[in-house]
Order: sequence, then structure tokens, then C-alpha cells
Amino acid sequence: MANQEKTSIGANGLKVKDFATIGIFSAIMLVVFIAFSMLTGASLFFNMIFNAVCVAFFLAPFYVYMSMKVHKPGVALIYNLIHALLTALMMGPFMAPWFIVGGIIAELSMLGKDSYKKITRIGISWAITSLVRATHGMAEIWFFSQAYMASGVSQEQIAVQTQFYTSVPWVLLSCAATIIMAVLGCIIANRLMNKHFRKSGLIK
Amino acid sequence: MRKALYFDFRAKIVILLLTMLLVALITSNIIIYTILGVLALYLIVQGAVWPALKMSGVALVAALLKYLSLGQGITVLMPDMFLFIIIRIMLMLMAAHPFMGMSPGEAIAVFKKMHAPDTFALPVTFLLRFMPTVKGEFAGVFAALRLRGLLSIRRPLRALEYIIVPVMFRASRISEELAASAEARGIANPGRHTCRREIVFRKMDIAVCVLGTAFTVVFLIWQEVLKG
Repeated sequence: MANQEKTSIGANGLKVKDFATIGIFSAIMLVVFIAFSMLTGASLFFNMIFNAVCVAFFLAPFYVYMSMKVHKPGVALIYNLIHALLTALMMGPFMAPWFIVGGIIAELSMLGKDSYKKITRIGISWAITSLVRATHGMAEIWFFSQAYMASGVSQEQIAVQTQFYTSVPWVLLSCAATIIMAVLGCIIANRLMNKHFRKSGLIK
Repeated sequence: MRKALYFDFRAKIVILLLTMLLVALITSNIIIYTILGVLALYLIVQGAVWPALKMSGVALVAALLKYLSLGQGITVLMPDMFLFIIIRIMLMLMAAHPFMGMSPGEAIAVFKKMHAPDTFALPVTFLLRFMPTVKGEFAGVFAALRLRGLLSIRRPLRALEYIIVPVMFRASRISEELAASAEARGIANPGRHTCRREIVFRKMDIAVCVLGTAFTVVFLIWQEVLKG
């Protein structure tokens, strides 16, 4: 017991093995996200509207497993903070606050006892996280256009992004598809958890 | 053969932040290619010759295509934006490369010295340790699936399950092993952390920070001159 108290580091009782799980699964999710974005980056339209939709589906099992394995508050926030760090490095610091605020909202959605064991609550936090990812391109145009233009993006690119991201039907389509695929991903992930990981005792 | 230089973690952070600033502010192609050269040199002096050549090669190919297409991109399959992103991502990857595969002991000793909160420092430490091996984990699973003839696009959901589940099992096992190893070495100890490599900010680290800052200022002034 004394040893357990000693190894508990975070204010919410996260232990070293929890941080290891979060760090390693975040690494997998980031690498898959970057690889997928580079493969599909050739199509500007796909990247703008459907990249986050597909990522919400592919990465859901990793997020669900990470949440259920750790099952303590802080997972959603730490994952989003790591994503904010990556975004700041890759896209410039101006977008980091968007992901940090998204992470706080995702973490707030997990308030309550044992929420990290319930697939519905995990699904909600993953939908919020995915939605933040889906809308970051829109935020660049809506709120940070000056900083975005200063990064050297071509005028044609900004014109295309503005055309799609200020069109209500396209914005609604992208957001709705992201939420649907995030939820669908979580449902399939929950089946995988029951089929493989609960049986083997890796998650309780 | 000259021995590779080793810079302090904090000096590498300074270079990473300066590169981030430049990537966010520099729009001139000629300055971006110069930054690419400087970063390649930065990696080569640290002994990372192959990664420097590989990443700068990818960026130069993208730059060449950008130049040949007169900023219009190569057909719909490779728009200008894609080439623009590739060049910038390569710059950031080159600045971030010296962090990859750092030993958890060393990373945590530095984070402790910087008074970084454990809630952030520990996951990032494990992430940095695991990041370079992710590709290998997936490659192993793909090779096993191909050998058994289980990789098929006819049943995408089944294929996804076959890929994701083993990767998750392996990652879970690795996370437990890494955590146990880190615990055994006292990663959770609240006291002073030491490391086999001495964590000191040497004259060489000061020099690399000063040089990095000087280059950044020169690049920003150069950009203003080109604009004017």
C-alpha cells in the first residue's frame, strides 16, 4: 500500500504504468494520424472534409482501450495536450489553444465516478476530441486567418479553404460525419474490447 | 572520423522552438531552403547523417516539384498545398529528430531539472521512447498477416481488427514492461534524479542556442528585406 502511494504521481492518482499507457498509445495514434494525413494529403478536398472523419473511426479502438485500461480522470486531457503540442510543432503555436480548450471540454465530459469504464462516456469524450480535430481547419479560417496567412499558405489554398469552411452545408456535413464515425468507431471498439481484451483480463 | 556532438535536451528544445517560429513566419522559399541546409548540418554534427539526408532529400524533391509546377502543384494528385505541407513537416521533423529514442532516464532527469509537471513529463517521456518503434510494430503485424494470407481489402473491418488488436496487445505489453523498468529505476521518486549521462548545460549548448537565435534573427531580417 505504501509503495502504491509512493508511485502515484498525478493529483488524480495516475501511476507510472498509466502514464506509460497514455504515452505509448498517444504515440501510436499520432503516428497513424500523421501517416494517414500524408497519404491522403494529396487531395485537398478529402483532407478538409473527410480526414478527421476517417481518423475518428480508425483511432477509436486505441482511445477506448487507453481510457478503459487507465480508467482514471486525466486521460482525455493529457491526450489532447500531447496533440496540442504536436499541432504547435507542425502548424505553428497559434492553433495550440484550440486543442487545449478542446481537451478541457473532453475531460469535463468525463466528470463523475467510473466514467472511464463506460463506453457511452468514452464515446462522448472521443466525439468531442474528434470534433476539435475536424474543426481546427475551420478555426484557422474563422479565428486565426491572419496568423494562418502569415505562415506562407498560398492564396489559392486559403480561397478554397474559405469556400468550404464558410459554407454551412459543408461544415455541417464534416462535423456530423465526424461525430457519427467517432461513435461508430467506439461501438466497434467496445466489441473488440469484449471479444479480446476483457476475456484476456487486460482490461476489467 | 570525428565523434558526434551531443547537445543538452534544453538546447534541443531551444532549436525546436526557434524552428517552430521560423516555420510559422517564413514565407520565402529561398530562406526555407537555407533553413533546411542549416538543420541538415545540425543533424549531421549529431551523427544523424542518414536521417538528415533522407528528410532533406524528401523536402528537396517536394521543393523541386513546387518549382517545376510554378506553384500550381502537380495535377490534382499533388496540389501545391501538399508540397507546402511536406516541406514544412520535414523541417519540423528534422528539428525534432534528436529527441527521438532518448532514454527515459535521461528525459525524466531533464524534465525534473526543468520542474516540468509529472502529468505532462511522464507521458511525453514514454512517447519519445516509443515513437521510433511504432513503424516496426505495425510492420511486424503486417508481415505476419501477409504470411498467413489474412490481409484482404474484401473484408475491411475484419482486416482492421486483425491489424489493430495485435498492435494493441503488443503496445500494452511494452507499456507494462517500460513502466516496470522505469519504476525499478525510481522514476516516481520525488527526490533528485540522476542519469548516466551528466545533465549539464555546457558551453557547447550555449553556443548552439546563441547560433540558433542568431540564425533566426538573420532569417527574419532577410524575410523583411525580401518583402521590402
